[in-house]
Amino acid sequence: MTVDDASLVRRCLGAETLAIRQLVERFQGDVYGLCVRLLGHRQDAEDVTQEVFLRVFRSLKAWDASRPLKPWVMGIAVNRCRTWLAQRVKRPELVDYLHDTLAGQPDDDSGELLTEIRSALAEVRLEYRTVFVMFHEQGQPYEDIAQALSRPVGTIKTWLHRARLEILDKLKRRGMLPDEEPATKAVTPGKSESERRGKS
Amino acid sequence: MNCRAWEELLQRHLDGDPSSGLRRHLLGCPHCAASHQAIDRLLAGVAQLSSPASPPYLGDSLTRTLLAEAKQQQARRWRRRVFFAGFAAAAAALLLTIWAWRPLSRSPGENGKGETSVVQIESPADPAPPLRDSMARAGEAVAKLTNRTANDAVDRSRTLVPLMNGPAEPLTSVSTGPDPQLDKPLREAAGGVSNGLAPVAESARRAVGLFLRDLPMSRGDGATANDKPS
Repeated sequence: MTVDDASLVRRCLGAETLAIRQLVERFQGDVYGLCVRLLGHRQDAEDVTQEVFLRVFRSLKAWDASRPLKPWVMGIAVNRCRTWLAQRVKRPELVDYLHDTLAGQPDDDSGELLTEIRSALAEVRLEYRTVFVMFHEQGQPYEDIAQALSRPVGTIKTWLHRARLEILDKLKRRGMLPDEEPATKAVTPGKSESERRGKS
Repeated sequence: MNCRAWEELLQRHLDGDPSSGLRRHLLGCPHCAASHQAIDRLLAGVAQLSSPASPPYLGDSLTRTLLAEAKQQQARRWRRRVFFAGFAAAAAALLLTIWAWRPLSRSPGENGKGETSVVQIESPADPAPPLRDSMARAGEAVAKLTNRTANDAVDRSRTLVPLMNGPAEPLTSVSTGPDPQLDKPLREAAGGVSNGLAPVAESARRAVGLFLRDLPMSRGDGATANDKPS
């Protein structure tokens, strides 16, 4: 894979049209999908995807050929999304268009549960959401996600677990999942069941 | 096993790595067994998650953007090369010019200010001519200049007169030619020029004579002051 990545990068740096097209085809799906999930808006996701690929192309010389290309590209995508979200916070007049989320527009999957999962996912903290999308939607292994986010594998596993628990809790609150506890008591990750029962 | 440990097993289960320990715990913990049902439902939903499909035009748009960027990068590299080549050529030309100028600016004498000095034909050992001789020469030059100016003026004044039949006579000698009307203006012009320049020549002669009289005499006394211009 690394040899193939290196060859692709070399040809892209030589401005080969076919190589550039291959670069786009290889990563545009994952980059765009991640941007949609993190930004919650298709138009923003398209704009950020453009920025990501431009940045990738301009930084190709800086890519470490000893590492796989995909985590590096996804890392750039995560950073651009983070920057975009930070800028969006500073533009309060654009908050209204955040209602145009995919949670209410399931165009690729059906099912109420799925819709609810997506709604719950949109409310999860950005880091947890990123790991959840890359692992469950894109099927990326822990090691690649860790490289992309420049975090240890243990941290990635923790973030993923917390994302699942948060989504689970939200689904239970919405009545989508059987609730074994009263809804007022939130499931606190890290605490034992006996500790939780002791407080009730 | 407490439920904290169960979470670790649950994590593995969610990662697709179920263990027998989880099953054992579920058998003994109704609470966790109920949670497990919720988790399974969640996993079923998560398994249906897929990345949103990108628009059909996005790929072409991205490719065009990157190709344009590649062209810009090539143009920037070319401009950088031309700039550095030009800079190197200018620097080389400047160095060459400085190197070529250095021998010309050097002089044998004390010319520390960098002024170019005229190459002297005379050897430094030749003594300067005496001041008396220099002044005499200056006086003669002024007198000659005055006479030459007068003669030139006379020559030019002849062009104002139509050609005569006979040979042109020098204006210094007044002739009573067949046309006294033409001769008179010529005579007056010649006289006027000579009269105008004569004081200049006389003054110059006097100045030189006074100067020579005041100088310490090396031979004779005042002989140069009485010299008349030829």
